[in-house]
Amino acid sequence: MTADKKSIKGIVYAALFGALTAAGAFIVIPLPPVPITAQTFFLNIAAVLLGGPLGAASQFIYVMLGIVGIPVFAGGKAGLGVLFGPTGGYLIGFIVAAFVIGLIAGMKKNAGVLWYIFSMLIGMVIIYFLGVIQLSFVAKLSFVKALYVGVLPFLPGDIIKIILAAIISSRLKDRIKI
Amino acid sequence: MYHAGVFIKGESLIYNLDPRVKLAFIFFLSIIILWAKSLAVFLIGITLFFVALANSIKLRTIGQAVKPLLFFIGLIFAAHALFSAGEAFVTIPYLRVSFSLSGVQEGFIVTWRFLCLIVAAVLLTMTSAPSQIIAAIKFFLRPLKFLRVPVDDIAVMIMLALRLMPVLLTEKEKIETAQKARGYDSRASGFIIKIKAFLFLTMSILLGVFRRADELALAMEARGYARQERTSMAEMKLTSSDYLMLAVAGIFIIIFIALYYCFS
Repeated sequence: MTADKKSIKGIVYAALFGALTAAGAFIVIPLPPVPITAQTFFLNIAAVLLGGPLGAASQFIYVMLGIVGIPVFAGGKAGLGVLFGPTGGYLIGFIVAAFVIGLIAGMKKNAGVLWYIFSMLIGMVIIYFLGVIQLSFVAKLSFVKALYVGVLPFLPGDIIKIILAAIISSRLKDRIKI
Repeated sequence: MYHAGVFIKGESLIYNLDPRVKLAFIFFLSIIILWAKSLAVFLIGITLFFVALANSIKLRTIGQAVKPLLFFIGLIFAAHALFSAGEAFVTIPYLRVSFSLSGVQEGFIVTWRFLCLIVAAVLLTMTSAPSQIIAAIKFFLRPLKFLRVPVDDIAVMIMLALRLMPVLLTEKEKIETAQKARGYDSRASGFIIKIKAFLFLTMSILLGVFRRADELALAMEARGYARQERTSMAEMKLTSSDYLMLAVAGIFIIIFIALYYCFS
C-alpha cells in the first residue's frame, strides 16, 4: 500500500482522513465505564491504510483544523494554545506516530491483524512518550507523576481502540486504492 | 456541535487586525505565558481577560472552552497540591491526605497558565475567520517550500478537511438513525452488541469516505487541478494598526526579556 505521494488522490485521501480524525471527537466508542472518543482509533486506521507520509500528512491536517479553531481536540478543545498546553505533546505525537505506524505496517506484505496491532502499539508508545515529556515540562510535574496523570487513566481504552482499529484496517485494506 | 471559540463576525480593533499578526502574537504570547514568572502570568491573564471582554467575547464562551479541560486541569492541580514537598497546612482527617501550602500555590499558578493559554486561543479563533487563519498558516509555512514541502497543497487540504468534516458527521448521524430504525437500542444492548454496532458504523463511514475521496479526486483532476502556486480568497494586507500592534508587541517582548534577565 505504498501510495503515490504526488497524486491528487493521495492529497484528497489524506485530507479526508484528517477530517475523519477530527470528526472522531464527536464519535464515541461505547466502552464501560466511560465512553471514549474515536480519535486515535481513526489515527491508527489512517496510518495503516495510507502509509507513513500520507498518514502523517492526515494527522498534520487534523492538528491544523484544531488551530484554525474547530473544537476537534479531545473533549472539544481548540486553538493554538492547546499545542503549547499540557496536552500538546500528544498532538505532536499523533503526527510522528502516524508516520511510524505507516512505515512499520507497510514493511510486511500481507500483514495480518497481529502485525497491525504491533505497529499501533509502537505508535501508542510514541504518542505517550512525547505527550508525557511535554506534560511534565509544561505542568512542571516529575516524569513519574506525569505518567500517572497522562498515561494510566487512558491506557485501557487505548488498547481496546487499537484492537478494533487493527480489525477494521485489515478488513478494509483491499478496498482502498490510492 | 461546534460550540466554543467559533468565529462570529464583529467589528473592533482586534477583528480588523491582519491574521498573520494575530497568529504570530498569540504564538509568542503562549511561549511567554509558559516561561514567565508567576506575577507576570497573573497580570497577563487579567489583561487577556479584559481584552476578551472588551471584544464582546462572553464569559460563557470562555467557560465552554475551559469546560472540557476541567478534568485534566483538576488532575494536574491535585498532583501538585497533594504530592509536593512542603509543610502541610490542611489535613483531611481519616484519609491521611494533606495539602501543602507551596503545593497549592504551585498548582494554582500552573492551572492559571493553562487558563491564559485557552483565553488567548479563544481570542484568536473568535476574531478571525477560518479562511483567514488558513491563509496565515500558509504564509508562515512558506519557508518550508525550500524543503519541497507542498505548502499550497497543504492549504487546500486544510480547506477540504474543513469543508468535509460536517459532511462526515452528517453521514455518521444518518447511519446511526438507520441502525436505530432497525431496532438497535444503544442503552439496552450489551457490551458485545455495542462494539459490533460501533464497528459497523465506522466501517460504513470509512467506505463512504473512500467513495467520496475517489469522486472528489476525479472531479479535481477533471477540472485541471494543478499542484502549483495558488491564489487565495482571503487577501492579507498590513494596515497601520497592524504595524502599531507589531511595534507594541516588540516593545512588550523586549521589556519582558529585559525583566527576565534582571530578576534571574
